[in-house]
Formats: sequence, C-alpha cells, structure tokens
Amino acid sequence: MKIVLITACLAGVAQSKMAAVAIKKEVEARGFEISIEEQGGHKVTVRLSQEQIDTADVVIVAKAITISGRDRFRNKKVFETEVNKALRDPKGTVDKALEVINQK
Amino acid sequence: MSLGKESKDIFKNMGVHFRTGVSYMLPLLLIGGFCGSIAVFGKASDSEFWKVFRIIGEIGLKYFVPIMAAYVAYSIADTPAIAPGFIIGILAQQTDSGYLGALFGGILVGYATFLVFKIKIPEMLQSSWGMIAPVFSTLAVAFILVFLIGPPLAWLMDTIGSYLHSLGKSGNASMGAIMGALGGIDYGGPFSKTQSTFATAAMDLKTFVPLGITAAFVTVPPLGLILATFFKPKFYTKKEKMYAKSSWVYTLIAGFTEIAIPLAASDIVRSTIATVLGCVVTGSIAGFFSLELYTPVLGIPQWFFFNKPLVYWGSLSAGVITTALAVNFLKSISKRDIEKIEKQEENV
Repeated sequence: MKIVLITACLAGVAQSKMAAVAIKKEVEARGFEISIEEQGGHKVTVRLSQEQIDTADVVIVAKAITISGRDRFRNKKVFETEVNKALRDPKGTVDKALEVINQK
Repeated sequence: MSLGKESKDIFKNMGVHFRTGVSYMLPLLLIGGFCGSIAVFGKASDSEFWKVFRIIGEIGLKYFVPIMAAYVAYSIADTPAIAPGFIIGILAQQTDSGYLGALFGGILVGYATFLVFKIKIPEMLQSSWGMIAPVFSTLAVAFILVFLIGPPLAWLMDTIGSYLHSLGKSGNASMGAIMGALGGIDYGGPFSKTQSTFATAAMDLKTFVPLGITAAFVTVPPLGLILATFFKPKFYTKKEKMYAKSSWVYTLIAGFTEIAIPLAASDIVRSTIATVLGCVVTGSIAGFFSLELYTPVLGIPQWFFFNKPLVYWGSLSAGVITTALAVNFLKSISKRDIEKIEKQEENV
C-alpha cells in the first residue's frame, strides 16, 4: 500500500509538520509506504514527483488553506480532512483514507 | 457539478479561503517588519543605507493587505483571480476601507471571477473570453466596493482604529486577557488562529500591541505544561516526561503553541483550564505594559523585536509558572491512574 500525504497550514511552521509526523508514524506502524509534501506561507515546498503520486493508492490532503498544485492528482482517490483533525487523530484519519480506496 | 452546488462549496469553505490569504500575507509582514525594526537603529541617520530598510518596512506593512485580497480571490477562483484581487485590495486601501474592505472585496472578486468564467461562450471565442473576463469581474466588484460596502467598512475600520489607539493601560490589559483566553483554549485551533489573525490585521491600523500580546503568550501552553512535569514528575507518565524533556529547548527556539498538544491531549480538560489561566495572566501583563512587536515572527527572532524585552520575559515567566502550578493543582485534586496509562502505552 502506498500513501501520499499533503499537509498545508497557515505559516507552514507548526501544524503541517506535526500532522505529517503523526500520520507518518501511524502509516509506518501499519507497514505501508508514505511520501509527504508540506505546504505553507513560510516554506519552500519540496514537490512530490508525478511518479510518486501516480503509483499511490490514495492521496490524503490535510489542510487549513487551499493547497497548490491540486491538478496533479486529478484522477486519484483523494481523502480530504483538516490539518487539525489529522494531527489529533492520525489513526482515524488513516482509517478513513483506507475506506476511500475501497469506495468505487 | 452544478453552479449552485459549486457556489455553496465556495461559501462553505470560506475559512479555508480566508486562511489561504493570510498564509500568503504573513511573509510580507515578516520581511517588512524585520527591515522596519532594523531601520530603528538608523533613526537619526539620513543616509541612503538606512533609507532602504525604512522603505522596505513601509512597503511590507502597506502591501500585505492587497496580497491578502489577491490570495483570498485565488483560493476561490484560482490563478485568474489573483490580479483582480490585488487591484481590489489596493482600491480598498485607497478608499480607506483597508483590511476589512480588502477581505470582503477579495471574497467578492474571487466569486465574481468564478462566475464570469461560468458564462457559456461559443468555442471560438473561449480563449479570448478568458483574457477579458477578469476585467468585468474586477469592474463589477470595484463599483460595489466604492459605492456600496466600502463606506460602512471604512467607518468601521476608523472606529476600531481609534478605539484601539485610545485604549489605556487597563483597556490593553483586558484586551490581553481576552486574547489570552482565546489563544490558550485550543492549541493552535480555530480560536487561537482567529486571535492571531486579529493581531496581524491590527498592524494595518498601526497598532502593534495586539501582536506583542500574542507573541508573549504563544509559548505559555507548551512551556507551562513542560515545567509542570518537572515540578511534580509523579503526576505524569514516562512518555509524557520524555516528551517534555526533549521538547523544551525546541519550544524556546521555534516558539509555537502546537507543541503543547501531545502533553495536553491525554488530559485535555485540566490542561486547557491551566493554559487558559496562564495565557490570560501573560496577556494582561503584556497588555498593561503595552508590549509591542513589529514583525510576526516566532521563536528566537522574536526576542530582538520587542519594544520592551523585560516585559516579555516577565509576563512569559508569570504565565508559564501559573500554568504549571494550576495544572499540577488540578491533577492533585483528581488523580489519573498513571500506572494504568503507562501499561496501555506499552501495549500500543
């Protein structure tokens, strides 16, 4: 299972980072692969490669602001949530993202 | 999707659009505030060298408003809305409705741009319509702003501005208490973001006390809860103590509220009561002594841009100690079963 995670918060200093760490821990505990992109006002975004996105089973978007580069995963299964929710409940977030994969 | 459903989505996500604007606006305040603060050292000098700092400071503190409008519009209707949003933002400033005018103008022009692109146009003309359409959305919202919503917003801005400027010591202290209560209640959630956005927006009114207050209590929740684990180790689990030991330096360096979440999450009610108390204490002290900060930075850079560093350290310590004592007091009244929690943690 491959998961792509995009986190985005106001400044790109606190929540996006912490949510990324929380989700990463949860995903790796389940033995899945994850690639992460963090976005925010004071941050140079390291972009995920199109290949990473194309091979992923699901894209998790945990955001407080509109993310940039949305058109990169036009045909993917996307689970959207708030960055705060992802940070407080990484387990539930990953569960819900896995549900999205099973939806037709 | 139908037009009605898409419109509904836009208005449902208004918070996201607003925060996107703020996210792109913060770097301007930072660059402007940073250079403006450095320019203070060359106040007496008339040389070109110091003038560069001064001018960058003025530009940053002036144009953060149109940039915010531009990116609120961008969040609603994507790239074509940036230019209309920017123009509407500057128009709002020039017609005195300032930050509020730019905010509502940005929302309106974003939505208007979204609408004009929905107009059905023969295939042949579509690419030229793409270039012309934002002209119409800009014009429409410009007239609405100047003749309809601008004047009441300008009056409101003026009233708020003169009110903030007229606040004395006790007024500032109660403002600090209210802001502290909001900032300490949800560790970087909607309430504290609302409060910190107000603080940055107030910079448009040339008042820097709200930002000073915010900056003073932003690290109170994490530092307070961390200090509490040092005072009474027996109230905390191994995991919590380990987290506290590893994160206090980081809190001082990076300086944001969210670091408190792992410590607060396992005992949210008692922790929140304590952090609200601590932030109220810090906020009211900082307000009483009119602590000002000229640039919205966090962590170590903050220390150099306060007008009264002593007030900062004093109010911060008072709040941190209050939080630590309060949370330990609350925990001593009703104890958690530490052994049981530690066992659960091991099983996970």
